[in-house]
Amino acid sequence: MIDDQRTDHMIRSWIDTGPDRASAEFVERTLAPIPRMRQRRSWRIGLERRVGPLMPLAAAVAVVAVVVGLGLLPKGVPIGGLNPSGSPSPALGSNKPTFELTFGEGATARVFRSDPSASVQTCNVKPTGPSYALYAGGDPFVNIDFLVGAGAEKPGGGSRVAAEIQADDLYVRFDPAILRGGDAAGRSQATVSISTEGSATTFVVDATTPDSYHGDVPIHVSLTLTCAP
Amino acid sequence: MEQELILRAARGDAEAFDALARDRIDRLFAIAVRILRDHHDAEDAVQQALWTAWADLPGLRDPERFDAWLYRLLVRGCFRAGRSRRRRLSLVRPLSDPDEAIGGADGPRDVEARDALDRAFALLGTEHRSVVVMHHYLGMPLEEIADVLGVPSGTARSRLHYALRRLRAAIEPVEEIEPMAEASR
Repeated sequence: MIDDQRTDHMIRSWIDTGPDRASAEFVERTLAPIPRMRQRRSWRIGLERRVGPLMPLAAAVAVVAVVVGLGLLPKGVPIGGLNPSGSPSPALGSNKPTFELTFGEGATARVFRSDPSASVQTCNVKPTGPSYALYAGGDPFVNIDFLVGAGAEKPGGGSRVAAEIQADDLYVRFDPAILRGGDAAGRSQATVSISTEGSATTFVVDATTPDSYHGDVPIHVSLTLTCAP
Repeated sequence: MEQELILRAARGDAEAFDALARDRIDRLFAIAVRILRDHHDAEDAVQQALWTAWADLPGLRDPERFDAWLYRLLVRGCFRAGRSRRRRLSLVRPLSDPDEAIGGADGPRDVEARDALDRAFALLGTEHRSVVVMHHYLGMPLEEIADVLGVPSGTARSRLHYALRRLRAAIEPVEEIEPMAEASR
């Protein structure tokens, strides 16, 4: 038997092992947008404290409202601060996304549609480069961070799509082509097809991903998103 | 000087907040990556904590509590990151080079022990991991940990006790583990 002192020493040594510094890129990505983010007034924070702790979804709404919804989103700030991968963030364009999002299939499918009054609605389509869409709003609340990689329209490029989606109590993410990193190969599958009509570009995505608040059973997600002026 | 920076930041001085954040971001990252055992999740948690800190700083009543408050935001960020990513990573990843042994030793038993600790830590919840990291990495006393987490000190103690028993048991397979239902609260 090993004594507690020895095991505690081993545990401390094990905990000490690991990185002690954040990357310079991460530091800049985190701190650079702050001067353009508005602070909440103290009376508002105090009021929320008295009302009680916010539900996670309401908290997400609050973050979006404070950081983004008031038109304060600086270039490069992702929805709700979720940019797990350090992928390039989208420039805000004048185009807006409209979408229909379906979780599951058949009678139990849940469908969400874009709300024209959502606080964040922006997309940017580049014919030869990556395309992005950001959306946050509606009731129930939907938050979409959508990326289509360059070359997705070419033969064999159909999996070059990634998204992080929160819709009501559902959460999924997929990134089969590892456009943003941090995803295990084979964890999710997704395909995107792209069509253009006039100045509108439509992305039709079919994905299967194990991420969900309701267990790790793979869930089917279909998203038809149109980016138009 | 620190308090002056905090007060300036609370009044909307982004440069002051930048100075405060730069001084702390490595430490915050080191804590988060030890709790979550994942670089991307740790970055998410730190980013969320600092952005929330900036947004809510005008509501901080006592500037002396800035660091404790920031740690609390970070742990909340870790909970959130842990929840949203829990389906992606079923096991905690080792942070170190597998050839690098615990405590600077090189023996195969130490490598085995580190792997066992990785596995045991993976089975702990964020609330237990946070206490272990704050106590053993930051050297924070239990009363302070309780304050940061907003739990009674008995709960912090119980969580640490539970987590350490799990970790010790992982590297002492012959030692029996006592029933722990109470400690998992």
